[in-house]
Amino acid sequence: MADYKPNHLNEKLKEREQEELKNKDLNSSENKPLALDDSQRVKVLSPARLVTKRFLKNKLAITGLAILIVMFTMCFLGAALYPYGQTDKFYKIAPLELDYAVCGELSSYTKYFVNEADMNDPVLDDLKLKFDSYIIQMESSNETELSVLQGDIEFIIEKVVDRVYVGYIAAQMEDFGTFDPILGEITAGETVEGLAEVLSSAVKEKKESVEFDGDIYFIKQVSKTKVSLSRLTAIDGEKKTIIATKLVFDAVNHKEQIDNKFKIAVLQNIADQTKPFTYGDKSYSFDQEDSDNLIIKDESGDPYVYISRYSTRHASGEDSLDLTFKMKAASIVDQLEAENAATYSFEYEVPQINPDTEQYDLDENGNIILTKETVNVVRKETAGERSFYFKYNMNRKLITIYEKPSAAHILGTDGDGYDVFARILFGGRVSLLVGFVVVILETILGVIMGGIAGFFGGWVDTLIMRLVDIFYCIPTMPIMIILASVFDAYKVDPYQRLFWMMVLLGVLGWSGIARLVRGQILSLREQEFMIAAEATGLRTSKRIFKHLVPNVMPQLIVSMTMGLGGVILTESSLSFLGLGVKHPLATWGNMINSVSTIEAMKSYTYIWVPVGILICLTVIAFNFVGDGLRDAFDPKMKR
Amino acid sequence: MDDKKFNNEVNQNDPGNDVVLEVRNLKKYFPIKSSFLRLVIGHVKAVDGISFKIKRGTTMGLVGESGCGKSTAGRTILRLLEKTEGEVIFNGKDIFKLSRKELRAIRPKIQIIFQDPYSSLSPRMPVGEIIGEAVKEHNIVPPEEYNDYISRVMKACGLQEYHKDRYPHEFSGGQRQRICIARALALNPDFIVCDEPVSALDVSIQAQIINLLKQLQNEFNLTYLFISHDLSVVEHISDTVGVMYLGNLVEYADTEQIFARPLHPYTKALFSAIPVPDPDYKMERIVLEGSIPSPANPPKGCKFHTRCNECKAKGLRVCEQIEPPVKEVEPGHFCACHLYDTVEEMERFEKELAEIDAKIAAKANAKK
Repeated sequence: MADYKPNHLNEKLKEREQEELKNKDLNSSENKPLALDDSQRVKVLSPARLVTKRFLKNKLAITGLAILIVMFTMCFLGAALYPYGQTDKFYKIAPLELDYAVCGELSSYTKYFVNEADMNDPVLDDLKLKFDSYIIQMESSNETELSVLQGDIEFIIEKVVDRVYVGYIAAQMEDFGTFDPILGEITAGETVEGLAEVLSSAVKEKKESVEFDGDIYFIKQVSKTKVSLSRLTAIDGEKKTIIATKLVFDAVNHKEQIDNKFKIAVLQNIADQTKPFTYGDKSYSFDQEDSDNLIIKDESGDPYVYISRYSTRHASGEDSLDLTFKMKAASIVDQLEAENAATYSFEYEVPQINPDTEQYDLDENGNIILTKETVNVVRKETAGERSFYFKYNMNRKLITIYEKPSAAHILGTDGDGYDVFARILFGGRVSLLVGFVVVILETILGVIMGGIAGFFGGWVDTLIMRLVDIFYCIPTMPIMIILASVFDAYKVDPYQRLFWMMVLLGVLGWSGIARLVRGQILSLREQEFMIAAEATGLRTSKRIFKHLVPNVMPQLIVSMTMGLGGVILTESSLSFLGLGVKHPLATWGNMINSVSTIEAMKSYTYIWVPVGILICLTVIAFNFVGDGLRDAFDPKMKR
Repeated sequence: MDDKKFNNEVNQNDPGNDVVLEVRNLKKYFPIKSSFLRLVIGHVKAVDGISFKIKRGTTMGLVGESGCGKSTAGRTILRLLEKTEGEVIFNGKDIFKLSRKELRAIRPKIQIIFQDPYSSLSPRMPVGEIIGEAVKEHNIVPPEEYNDYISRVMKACGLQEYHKDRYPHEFSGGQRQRICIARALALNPDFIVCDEPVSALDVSIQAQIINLLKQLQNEFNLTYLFISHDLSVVEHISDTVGVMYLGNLVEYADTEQIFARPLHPYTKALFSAIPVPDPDYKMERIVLEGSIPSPANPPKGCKFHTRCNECKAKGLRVCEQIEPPVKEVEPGHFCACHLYDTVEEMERFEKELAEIDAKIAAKANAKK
């Protein structure tokens, strides 16, 4: 308990009161006429209630408050109750025309080594690499045989039938020796009878090469008395051979893989199709069904392999289509090629995909269920290559983007298949939260800094005000852009981004409030009531918080509420520019951003109009409430 | 009867000291700073050495034309402004030697009522809180009595209890001044500086407030320093009167004495301006020429000599060079003017004057 000194003033006042009471008793016996006492007439309200009452009388402020209450319940409670979340994607099952198969001629030849052992031969490998270009050379000059001297090696490429070529190493060059054309003497490791005559006549005729006894001799004049000789010797016995073909082998049973060796055997015997050939222990025969398809039948006469010009594959590249479709495709492509047409459509039994499992529909036996669909064929040419795409409508699970408002989605869905209304609710949470946190941060910083500067003045004031000037100069936008790029670089979590954005906006925004508070306090502290407060011996803290701060309060509240609207706008524009809160976290700003092109804005008004209206409404409501509070706080206002 | 008994009680705490406040040679200079570099290039001598004593339960009036340093003197006495020189002794303690804590403890004992009742009340505080705030702070009454105490104080100042929850802007000027008085009174002060408390009010309200102050003084044995430029008000309320001119106290005496026989030429001129509510009465006003000199650069010698009719008429050179000391011309009547110099003093000043002349002459010669 504090020590109370005897207070003579209080004692005297009490005495006076007692006396007055006595007099009053005496007076009351005189039966005074009844009069309305001022103390009975005036109803006294506490200051807080007075402010509330004044505030409630302001219609605009009430409207604003109602809007804000609706907004808050909607965003904070409504979002919790609404069935959809902000990142719930919505799907629908709808037919989508997708590629089923691709058919076309092979663009390059497939090469087979006749002997597996040759696979690692570098010379043959060289031939394999250049095979396609030799074939092109042959096709353009319409030759059936081509001999190429590649370094010391001679290759020979022969056309067997259309689209089948055989290439092998025919001969090899070696140094033979020298020849003296004047003496007609050959200096060599071996002696070839009669060569000298042929050579001397060839040298006289200045031939570069001469054929003798199946070998070709190349002549190179070194001097008048010396000619160097090299001999191209044909390789005897089994030749190292590559078979190249553009023909495609399709087994009748499409699940069966055809051995490369079988293909080689077929290709080796393809020149004479009348003769049957043997592979392994079995004998096979050729059969020409139509102009294009060659059929190879096994011993029992059943078709075993179809040979076609066209390769028909699944759109995924898998070779899992059955032969009937392949043959059908090949005939269609033939027809189209003949007509030089680009499109065609036909009915065909094709498999359907289950949209949920993304697998083919299977019956109980595990076989693919086929349904009749219209298959469209489209020709596509890329880099001179021509292929035909077989498409039909498949039932697929599709994201419901840009769906018009409906009962399921009150405001439709956006470009990511999210429910727009859910995103409005969750986005409102973020926008309002950002507004409040930033403004509170700004105000705390601003009141502390401005209050210190205003109350103490002098060098403290100068220092803080220069700091305020510096903060005024800091451009928010470039800093936000830099920060956004830093966040992008480090792939910062959207929530953390939000937090840092709030901190930055708060730290950059306090200077205005600090200036306001400082200005108010500077003028207030010179008022006589502050001197009176000092004269009554009040503590500094009380002088600041009971006399100065309440007087700054109205301006502060107005600037806070106006600031709230401003911060919501800033956040929206930052998010709109992609600098603020990032997708998939929703805010009102980045929702508008999702329809930033003129075309999108025209077509998807149901996405951006409600968000835009909400932003406007919120900002206006904050301003109304701010105005209302200012009027309510000002006791001089009479309304 | 009660007053006397009560006085005895107080005096027992403070035995044998009837003087509440003594001001000794108080000076308050405001520095004049250059706009560039903020160097001090001079001083405004608002209060330039004033001394007086106020006895318990009396009122001292402080008069003078505007700008003569009355209000500054009042505020410096309360240490709302820091002094430049001098002492203010309140109940035996020098106010300027107190620590912050001690000063805060003594604050309730010395209060101030301001001229402008509009700006001296915090606009966002209900009246009850304005009056009671410091009461709580200084534990003037126990918390259970607080509400009743505030009501009693308000009643004593002519306010109603229900005014407590109202804001200052709902009151008229006179009522506001009552609130200011209640605020000062609630702290149970010994001494109140009334800094022109009625000059912002109209005449009928002035009388109410003056009477309230007088009544409170009688009832609670208060001591006032009543600063005003309204001489009739001062005559009405004061026991003693001090006249200030350009930071100096030029004359100081009991009210009857000074009004009956003003000594200083400035006082005479000032008093001649008191309006008399009688249309037949012919006023003999002494018109002072020129205006009040700048307190930053006051004249040498007697500060009033530039405007003094008597000095000019008599051609006294001493007024121009030598500052007149404050002396008791009559018993209890102090005045600072060369007109009332005794023969010895005159001789002494003549000598000093001759010395000054010689110095000036020497300087002039040296220059040549």
